[in-house]
Amino acid sequence: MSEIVLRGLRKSFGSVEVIKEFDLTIADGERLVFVGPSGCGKSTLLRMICGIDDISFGRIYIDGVDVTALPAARRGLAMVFQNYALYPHMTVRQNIGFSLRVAGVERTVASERVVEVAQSLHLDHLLERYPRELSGGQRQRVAIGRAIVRQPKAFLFDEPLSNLDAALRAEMRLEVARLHSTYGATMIYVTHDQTEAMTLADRIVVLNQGHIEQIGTPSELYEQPANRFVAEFIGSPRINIVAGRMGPEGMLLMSGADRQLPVAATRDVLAVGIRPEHIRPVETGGHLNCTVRNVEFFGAESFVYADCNMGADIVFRTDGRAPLRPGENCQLLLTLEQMLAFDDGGKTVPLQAVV
Amino acid sequence: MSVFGSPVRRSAALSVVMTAVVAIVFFFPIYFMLVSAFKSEPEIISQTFSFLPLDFQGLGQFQRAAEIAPLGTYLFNSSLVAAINVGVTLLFSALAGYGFAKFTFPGRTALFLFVISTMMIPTQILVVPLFVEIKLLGWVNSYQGLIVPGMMNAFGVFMMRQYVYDIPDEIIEAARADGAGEIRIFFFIVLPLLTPALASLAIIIFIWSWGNFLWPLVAVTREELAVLATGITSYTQPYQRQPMWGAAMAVATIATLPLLVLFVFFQRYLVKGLTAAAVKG
Amino acid sequence: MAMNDVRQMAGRSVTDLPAPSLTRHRKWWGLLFVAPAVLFFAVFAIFPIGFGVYLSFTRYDLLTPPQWIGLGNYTGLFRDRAFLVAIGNTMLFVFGATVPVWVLSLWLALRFDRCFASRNIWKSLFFSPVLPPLVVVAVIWKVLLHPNGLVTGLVGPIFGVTEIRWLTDPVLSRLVMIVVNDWTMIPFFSMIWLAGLAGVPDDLRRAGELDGASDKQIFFLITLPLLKPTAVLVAALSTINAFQAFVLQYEMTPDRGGPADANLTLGLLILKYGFQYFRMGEAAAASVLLFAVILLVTAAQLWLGRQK
Repeated sequence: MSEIVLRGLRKSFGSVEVIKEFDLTIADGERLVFVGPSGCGKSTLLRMICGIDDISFGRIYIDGVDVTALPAARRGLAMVFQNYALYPHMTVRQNIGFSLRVAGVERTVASERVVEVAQSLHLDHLLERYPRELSGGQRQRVAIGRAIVRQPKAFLFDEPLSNLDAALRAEMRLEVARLHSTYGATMIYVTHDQTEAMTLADRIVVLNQGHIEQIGTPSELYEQPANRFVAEFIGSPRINIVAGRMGPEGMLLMSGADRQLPVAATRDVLAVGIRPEHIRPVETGGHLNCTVRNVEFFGAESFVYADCNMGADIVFRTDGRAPLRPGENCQLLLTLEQMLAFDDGGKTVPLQAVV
Repeated sequence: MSVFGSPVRRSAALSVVMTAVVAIVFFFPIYFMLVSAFKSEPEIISQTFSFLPLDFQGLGQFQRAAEIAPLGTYLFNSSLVAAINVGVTLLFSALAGYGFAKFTFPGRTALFLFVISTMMIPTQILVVPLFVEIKLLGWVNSYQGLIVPGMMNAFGVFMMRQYVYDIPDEIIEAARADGAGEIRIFFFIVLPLLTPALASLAIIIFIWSWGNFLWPLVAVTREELAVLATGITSYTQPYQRQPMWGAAMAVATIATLPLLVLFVFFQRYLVKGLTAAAVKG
Repeated sequence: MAMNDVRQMAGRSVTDLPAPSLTRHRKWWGLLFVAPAVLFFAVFAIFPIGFGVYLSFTRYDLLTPPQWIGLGNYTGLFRDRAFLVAIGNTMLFVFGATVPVWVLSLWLALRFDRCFASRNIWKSLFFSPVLPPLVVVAVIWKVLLHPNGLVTGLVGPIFGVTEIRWLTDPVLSRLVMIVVNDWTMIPFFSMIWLAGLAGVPDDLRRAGELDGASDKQIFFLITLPLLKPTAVLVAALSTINAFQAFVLQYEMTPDRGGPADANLTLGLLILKYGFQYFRMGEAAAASVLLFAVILLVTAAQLWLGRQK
């Protein structure tokens, strides 16, 4: 069992509080992702768990043991740094074996372990090379190998894919997934890319300026975001959000729309959201009348930007083979069950269909 | 031909010729020294010059030089002093550069300025009090007195700190996360990554140390402790006999040769180190 | 863990207490790493300065303990003929070792910018005067400037003489000191100018040409202003170096500074007073004065050359 518990974590740099009262339990073998915009504190959090940065207040427990006072090397965790942090003057073999050498592991035993790990990552033919001779993907794997060889209770990844190009990213995602299925260890990722978070995680922690916006599975975050921040952060392309309120008949009125929608909210609403994938152009009977302003064609699908008299454009997705042209009128049908509403504090307000 | 060096309106060929002339004129005294070491005495003090020795002396002048004064001792002492200066400066500078660049502690800026300010101190103002200092320590006419006060150079700290800054923090953090202690990190991670900078610094310190005249002149008076720089004067102002010019040129050659060799082979390191410091200074 | 229970019973949890710091010890390591260098300079650089100032207010001959005499050494120096002569000699030398060097090294760098491609033979030959130790330079020139030596052989016929006392004539010897010094310094500073020039993009100079500027205008209006930091550096370094000059004078002149103190520089005077006559207090005072002058002049140079 390697359960990680974070209790009451707080961190300040001088007078600025960067992490505010953070509590979380990470289950054994779980893939947890911290995601959020730059400066939200996710990297700091990871470094605190790893033991590289100090904690101002709070405690960290691994397997029930309080490790807060233990230095990084003794916590049983391994970190893969964003820029890999490979030792430039050491070969791949020496890089991977460094922690073993420091720990005084016997030479032959250490050597075997290094070779084993290198083989599992397809690095065995590169053992005598130096980092500067390796490609980005290979360096990434060496960094992972360095972590694996320590047989850690959990792996920590700091933005593992952000330095890679698109093709390499896909390859690495598989590599990391394979890592998880092979070793079954707990994995904590940090990323700013919500797509990465959605594909990698069992659970996602959305962070904003040091505190948790929401914790949940990818589908929970997508379908039931707790607030506007999460709704806007998760999902690509971004959710459409416009001003809205309860109309005179107790039904939802989007600003600029000519009639109300048959949904009602339990409390006051300030904004309304609908995802691009939940909007369809129709011939008749649509909820909104709009004029197409711009179309972006991607082959299999298109993104259409329409002016619906709501201030900002409404974006929706459509099959690539059903083209609309700028200037044309269109009616849009909204999937009302997927609509979201937010109160003046940004929190999600439940909606019910009105019969 | 324009005096102000226009980038375009210059005749390339004429420029090359003039450059060669200038270069040769500046180089001539060095050449004179090198070739005179192999000439006979009358050839050297002569109003005419021959590019090659007419009466080739072989190593004759060098032998005479060794007979007149303890040349071997001078060489040994110069080498010893230079070796210790280089070794100590490299180690202490790398340590201090690492400390200043990658650690925070109270008084860091003040201490750094303190160290750097010593670069500005002209040696003239230090000679007298330093001498008194070593006299009080009983170090006059000893190896300690000769070597220790000049063992370390603030420029080294300045230079090393610049280069240590370029080592990514991540690598040091990764080493800590791997369990390495601070000493191990310094010797196995930081120092190897500083190798090119250390090479440049070593050359600079060697050149400075090899040619250092003032301190050896003042700190020791016994022949056994003299270095090449001070020893060479005994060939030109000996007390009882005529100066032995040929021997002097031989010793001059010996004194200059290591520097010439270093320059030829390591020009890159030297010029890079010096101009980088000059530009940043 | 028992502590935890007690605190929970008291209504507070362990997370209200500050967490133990893992990095606090690191600042001690930082201090430890810089300590050897700092201690060295404290003992062998900073302390001597203070000590030197103290000695300048004493009479001290190394045999009996120092005796405080207040400003005695300072007033004594300004009444000392040798000291006043040394000031004059030093000023002359400084002038000769800075202005011509500044101008000539700049001119050579500009003129031969292209021809001194990196690592080429001409650059190396040109730079060679920098390499030998200064005392070795002195010895070489002592031979070249022998009254019956090569330089006499080259110059003598022009004036119809067979012997020229380069190093024993008061006027000639001073000239010689300056020329030899400049010979070693010009290549060094040319290299610095070249490094500075490398930072001035060619495009700017060509743009000036296209705008119709003459070479002279391009130089003074475009190139030189951009070279200002380098110019200040060259001026400052050459000045600091010139004020401390003594090696050439020590080795090449009769009686170490002759003839008749014609080449007695301040640096040489400090050496004589301190280590020939062992008048440590006076020597210390002279070096304090020298240091003060160098500081003032350099400060003035830096202030005048500051970027606006």
